Amino acid sequence: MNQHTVKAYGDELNQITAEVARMGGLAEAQVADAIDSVARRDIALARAVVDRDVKLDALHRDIEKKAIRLIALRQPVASDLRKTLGAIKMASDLERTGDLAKNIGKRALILAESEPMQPLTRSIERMGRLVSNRLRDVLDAYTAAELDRAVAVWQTDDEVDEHYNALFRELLTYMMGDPRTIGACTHLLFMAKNLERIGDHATNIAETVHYEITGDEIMGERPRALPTPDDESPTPNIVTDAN
Amino acid sequence: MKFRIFRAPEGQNGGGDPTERPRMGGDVLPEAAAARADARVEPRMEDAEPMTGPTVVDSPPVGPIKIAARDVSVFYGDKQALYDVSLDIPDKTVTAFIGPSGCGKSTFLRTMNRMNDTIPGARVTGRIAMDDEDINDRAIDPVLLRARVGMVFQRPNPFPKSIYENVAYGPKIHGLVTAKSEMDGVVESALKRAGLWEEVADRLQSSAMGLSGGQQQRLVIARAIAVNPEVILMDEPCSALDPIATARIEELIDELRERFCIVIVTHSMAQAARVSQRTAFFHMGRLVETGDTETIFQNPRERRTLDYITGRFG
Amino acid sequence: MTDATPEQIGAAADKRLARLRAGLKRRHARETRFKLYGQLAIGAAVVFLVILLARIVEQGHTAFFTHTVTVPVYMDPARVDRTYPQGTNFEQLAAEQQLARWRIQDDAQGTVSRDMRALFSSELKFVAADLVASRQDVMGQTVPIAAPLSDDADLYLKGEISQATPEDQRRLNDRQIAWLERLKAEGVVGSHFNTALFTNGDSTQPEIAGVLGAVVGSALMLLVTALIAIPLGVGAAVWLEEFAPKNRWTDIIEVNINNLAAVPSIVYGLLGLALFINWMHLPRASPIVGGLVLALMALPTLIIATRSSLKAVPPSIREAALAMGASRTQTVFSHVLPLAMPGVMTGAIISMAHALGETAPLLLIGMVSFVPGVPHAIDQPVGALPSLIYIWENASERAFHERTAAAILVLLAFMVVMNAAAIILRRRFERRW
Repeated sequence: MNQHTVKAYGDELNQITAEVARMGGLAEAQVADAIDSVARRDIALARAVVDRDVKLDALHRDIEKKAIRLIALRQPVASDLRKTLGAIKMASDLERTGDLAKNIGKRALILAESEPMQPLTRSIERMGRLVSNRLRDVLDAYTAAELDRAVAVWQTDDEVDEHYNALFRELLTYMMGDPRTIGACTHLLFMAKNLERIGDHATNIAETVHYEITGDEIMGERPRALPTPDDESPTPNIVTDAN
Repeated sequence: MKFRIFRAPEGQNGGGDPTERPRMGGDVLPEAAAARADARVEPRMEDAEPMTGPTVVDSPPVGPIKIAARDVSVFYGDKQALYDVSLDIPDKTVTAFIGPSGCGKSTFLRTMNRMNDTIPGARVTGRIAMDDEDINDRAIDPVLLRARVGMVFQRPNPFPKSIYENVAYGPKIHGLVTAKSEMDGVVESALKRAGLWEEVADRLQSSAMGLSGGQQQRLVIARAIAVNPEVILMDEPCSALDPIATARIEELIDELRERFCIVIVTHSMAQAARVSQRTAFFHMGRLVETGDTETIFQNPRERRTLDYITGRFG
Repeated sequence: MTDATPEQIGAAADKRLARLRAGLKRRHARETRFKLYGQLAIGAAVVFLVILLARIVEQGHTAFFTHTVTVPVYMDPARVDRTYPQGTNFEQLAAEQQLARWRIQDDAQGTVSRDMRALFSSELKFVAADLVASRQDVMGQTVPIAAPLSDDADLYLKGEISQATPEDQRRLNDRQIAWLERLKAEGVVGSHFNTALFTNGDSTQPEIAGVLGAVVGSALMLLVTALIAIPLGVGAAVWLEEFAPKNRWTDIIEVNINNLAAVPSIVYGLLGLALFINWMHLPRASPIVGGLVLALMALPTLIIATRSSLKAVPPSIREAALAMGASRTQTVFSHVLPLAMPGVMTGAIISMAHALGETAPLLLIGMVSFVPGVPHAIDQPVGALPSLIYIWENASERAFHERTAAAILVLLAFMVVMNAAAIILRRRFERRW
């Protein structure tokens, strides 16, 4: 891309996107570390995740400030405008992702004090890796401006939902089998929910990337996997809505 | 895929591998150093090869077309200033011509009221039709054409006469109004429509040169609309005015477009975005892209248009 | 780029400042010298001008007043014929009576009375004759007749003729001088403003010679010049500037007009002689011919001046008018020409003033001859101020010397008035755009 005639303008725009990329890297790391802390029952790691969240918040505020300043002073149009708006949206999504990762970390701290539940935490880990990969893919797509990758991420949103539904069934079965595990399973349930939300945020980011590159919205409904009748437990319907 | 052109050079968006642990403490933005390392000297837009393809039309204009230009070329002696411009200008809208200096937008504007005829050695080929009549036809008298197509120039140029005489000049020489009382009414109505009446109603006989720049420009607009033209051409009307005067003129343009077809040449992208409904982008004598202003300024199809409006060239 | 220490930066700045200061003195000195040259040049020009004017004024101011003598004349019915007063030799009568009053005997040849007569101007005859013709009751009465003294007597009283020169080289002999002194002592000699200079036409007698004829002749000629040159010149300039196509022919015309402006004026005189007088048989030395010749001479300057004032009108005015739908002609006549008017008028008046003072062409078309009286028609021979000056300068009478300078002053005054008129008119019509 050619340089802006006013160098400072181009530099300011690049600063914003760089910060978004950094925020993305940080959020990704948060998610990965939170999952690790659950899987390995690593209290120090969990605590680190919780503490690092302030950085994400600070980055979010900074990106918003920079973006508003750019809009006021430079009156961006077309691609520059989409880039700026996209940065604001993505920062918001990434900040929420960080909060969700922190929440997972908090619950990991609590879980670490109780009995390990291997099969369940392994499922969480698997879901977590999936979500983490999706996040990484979409952030790569943003950095490299690769439309295909972003669209691919967008289209596989249902995978996360399937994982979530499966985990949900598993946890319910576990809780019904051994009421002593209800506490821990509830935490795990919340963790699964958080991971599913993170997956949705990744899809949001994919939509933003698409808009930024093409100027158009991604057409079509988001793919979702709604719970099937098989998922229902013997207990009466607990219908969750995916969003 | 087509949109790879928007890929940023490597290293510009910092952060490297996103799965890497973030470094604690202050980060030096990596892209600052990287940009210097692989800085290339980009060619200037002025040096770029002129495009040879046809004009990109984002969307056809809506509503009746007032002026239809087909393959219009303008030559000054041996030098060609415009290359085969084809454009439809709809009625009762504001169409803006944007482009870097010397791209031919003023030249094309002036073909529409045959002001190029006054330049010795100027030659216009192609067809410019207003209401389906070719205005370059020998049978059409340029004097009459200019009663139908008014023009406002970059620097306000009222005649060094009184305000009244300035506004009355057009109707007088075209014989549209003969009685004095009728002329008073015409002058008043033109000044009112130009938003100048309250300021000058008590000094119509004083010299027009005593007005401020913004007032003079509004006077010139009143002078142009006093003959009830069908089209008003404006060649950078606000470039000599301060921001408040500019804003008033823009407001006036907005009001005027309900009655007239307005074509405005402007250097300010922001002004084109504010004031116009259709935009045409010229570059090196060719019409590159035309479409609704919204589309051009949000998502233009041509790379050159994008570069120009985001300030990456010229 | 290496980082300079603050000391290095300071030292570099000081050195630069020192260099600037050194150069500054030189530059100021050069400017002062240049200003001095300009002032010297202007001073020299002013000094020359002042010297010239002073010389002319010094020589000419005496011409503006003249001496008259009042002598009582007894209208002897035996010698004065009431029905035909002009036939009477009043000068002789007055001279004899004056001698009688002083009890001076006339000799047999009448040289004494002749000398006395020489003190009176021939105007005395006309004054007395008019008196006799208009009033019947003067017959047989002694009436005072006031008439100018002769040119030589006038010169003596102004101090131009001195007794120091030997008598045979003087125009007045000792006896005449003594008589003049006596008349002066009697108090009958008065000096007053020389209105004759401004009310009379040319004459061979300097004491009654005036510039009026020449002034009117010049004015008539100027009228003809203006009526021919201004419409033609302005029209040609307007056509060349606004309407003419820019091709080789108009370039040739333009070059030729510029060259014609530099042609010596005597060539125009030759042209006038050959064309107007010899071929078209127009009356020689008439205002028509003079006006035509001067018009031809003034035309190139007028065209050039008009063109440059047309060029000075900003093109934005033309564009505005054309864009409003005015035709080319309407644009020129309602907008461009009125705005160019101050320049056009100045050019016209200046070229008229220039034409007024041209002598060489007038000499060739015959205005060098003596023309008495005040002209009133444009096809009769007239005199003109410049040629009058030429004639008077070459005249033999001493008294014409001061009158030539006076005529020059009149001509200069004419010029000043015309230029002042140019400035005033220009100021009045000047519009600011």
